[in-house]
Amino acid sequence: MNSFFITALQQYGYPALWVIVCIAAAGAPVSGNLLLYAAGAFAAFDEFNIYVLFFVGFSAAVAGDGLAYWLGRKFGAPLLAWLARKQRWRFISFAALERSRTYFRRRAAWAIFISRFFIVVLGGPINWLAGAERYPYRRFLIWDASGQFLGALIPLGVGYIFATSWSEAESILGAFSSFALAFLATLIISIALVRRMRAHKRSAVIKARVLLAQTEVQSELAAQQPAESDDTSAPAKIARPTILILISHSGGGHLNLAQALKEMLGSAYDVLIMDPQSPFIERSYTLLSRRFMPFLTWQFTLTDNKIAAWLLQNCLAFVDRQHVSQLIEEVQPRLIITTHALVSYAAARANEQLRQRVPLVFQFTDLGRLHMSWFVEKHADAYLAPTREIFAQAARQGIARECLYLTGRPVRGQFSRDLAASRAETLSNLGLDPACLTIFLQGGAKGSAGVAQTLEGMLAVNVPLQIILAAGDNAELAGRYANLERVSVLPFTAELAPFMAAADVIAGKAGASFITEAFMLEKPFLATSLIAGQETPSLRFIEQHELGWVCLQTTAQQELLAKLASNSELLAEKVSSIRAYKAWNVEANQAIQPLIERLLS
Amino acid sequence: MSERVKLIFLYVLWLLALAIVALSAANALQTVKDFQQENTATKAGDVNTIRPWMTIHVISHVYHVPEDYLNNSLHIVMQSSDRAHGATLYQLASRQHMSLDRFVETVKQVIRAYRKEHISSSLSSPPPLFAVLLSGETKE
Repeated sequence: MNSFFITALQQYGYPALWVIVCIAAAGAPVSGNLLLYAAGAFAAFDEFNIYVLFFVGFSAAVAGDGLAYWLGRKFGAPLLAWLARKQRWRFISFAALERSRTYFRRRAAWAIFISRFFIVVLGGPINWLAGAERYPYRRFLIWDASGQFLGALIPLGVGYIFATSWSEAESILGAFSSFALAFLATLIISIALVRRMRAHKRSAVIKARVLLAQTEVQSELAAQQPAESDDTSAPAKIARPTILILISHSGGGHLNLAQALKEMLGSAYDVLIMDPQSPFIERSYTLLSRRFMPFLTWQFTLTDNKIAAWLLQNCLAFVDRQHVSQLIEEVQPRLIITTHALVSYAAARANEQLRQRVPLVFQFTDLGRLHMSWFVEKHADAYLAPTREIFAQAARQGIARECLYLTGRPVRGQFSRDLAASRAETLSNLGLDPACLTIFLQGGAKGSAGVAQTLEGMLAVNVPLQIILAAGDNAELAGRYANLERVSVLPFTAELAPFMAAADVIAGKAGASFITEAFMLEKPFLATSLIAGQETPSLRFIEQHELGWVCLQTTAQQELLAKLASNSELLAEKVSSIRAYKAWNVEANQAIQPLIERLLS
Repeated sequence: MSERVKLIFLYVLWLLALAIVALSAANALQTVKDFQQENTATKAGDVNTIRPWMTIHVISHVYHVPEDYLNNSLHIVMQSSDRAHGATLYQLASRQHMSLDRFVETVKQVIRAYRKEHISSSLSSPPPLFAVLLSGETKE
């Protein structure tokens, strides 16, 4: 066969070369490459012009590739559609086929380029597949022409340089190409093997975590069952749809929001809250927020633009996607909600890989403005905006209006209860005077509130006031102020609402969750500190909706407290605007449950 | 298919891939050696490196034998369909109704004869093809 083509080349010259290379590129079982090596060798003996050969070889290959592409487009696409309808893929599952088609669409450019000069044997099938998958022709042509430039240059060049031994030189290139291919395949298999082994181990951990979370849900459900049932046997398990809420343990507000959603939806669904990220993330965040606060601020600011947010999310998705996939496979949720921007994109990518996609909901967390990383993924099924400001920002960032809902910011049940009656009792139990102006000061569980300076500044004011200091798990802070007069130190407690409700003013870091809990308890909020960048828009939000005051300097805080102690009207005025906002938020929250029901149906 | 079976399958595949890598590496090294030998032999003018794709023009250049001498010895007549530098040995063998191997062997004999003649510096005209074949000089 080769002798026939080489003879044809010798006999008919350039036209023969053009036709044979074109047919080979179109997918015919002919080695057009071999002919180019031979032509290069003949050119070395002045039997052909090397420049003309290059032009002929290049144009023929591009034309042949184009022909195969159009054949694939004309006949391949309907054939694939027909096979998909008939589902006659007996040797391979339809889902696997779909995944490989999706994979091809993503990697088509490289596949086209490489198969022109490196894995030449795949050139024909890839041309056909690109056409069948309706890969844009302009893009196909660009990658094809780039690849064929090398595809013509390499064999012609090698043939020309090693003229008398071109066939042996071709064998060397072929052998090295086979070696590279085998090496690449081994590398891919090695990576797959390592990943699968790691996934196998990780799967056991995830299973244990999911089991634990499911047991918790079942226990909560059992505790809610009416006690009148005489049947002492184990209650029959009623299959309820499972909702998976993905969070990140970097910051407490996201978890609070997830818990609020869980309480809201828990009566009708099994709601599991899971953090798909490595515990390393949580430990790093805690360390940074306590010791290197500016780093968090820089990270927030530097990634708060489209390009950096896209890069950040893709890096995180690369690390977390497999983990999230496994988690979803294990939980088998009917709906996924995410309350943290940094797991949102990985969740969307993992969801894409599933055999059956699950509805995905993004619950935005902040009040005044969102970080751009929330908007990298624009194809979730629903986006829940907690405020009008966030709703407007999401719309501006291109979130489809039909997927965007203004639902307010839900809070945990304890913050919705009327606790006014228990105020005096709570303060007495804490050893404080119910008649005195009381400040609830948040210590910040992660220690980022810079609370010591604030507390000491408040105590220095020459007016009667007392402080409930929520120290969380910060033992150092608790120990430092444990024996101070007019200060009651509150260790970590899950039921924080009664203590906040017992105060007249809630003070602390301007976190979205904390501000919401304050206005839901109808208490004015005093913002004394913030994570710059991330929480800066919350300050404007507080002032705009008259939910409290912003006093970041100690002197400003002292002046305000002095005024509040002397004029109770100031507090009353603030409470009336807070009530109005609370009423709006409560009403907006009513939209969440019907929306979830609709998504699940 | 259970996860364990998938892992075992992948492990076997990995071993197989490693074996293929080793084999292809050995093959690549062998082709390099073959190439070196072939190249050295061609440069030394070894007639065993003559290949069927070569034309008389190419053979003349590589083995330093005048093109006319080769054409005359092999009784090659240019045809109208031939390009400027003639036909390949495939084509020539076919025209002379000879097997390719036999024709290539004949070419080798002609080259050897030319070299012999020029070492002994005697003959002015090349011997005809069949004279070469019948003269018993087919073996060196």
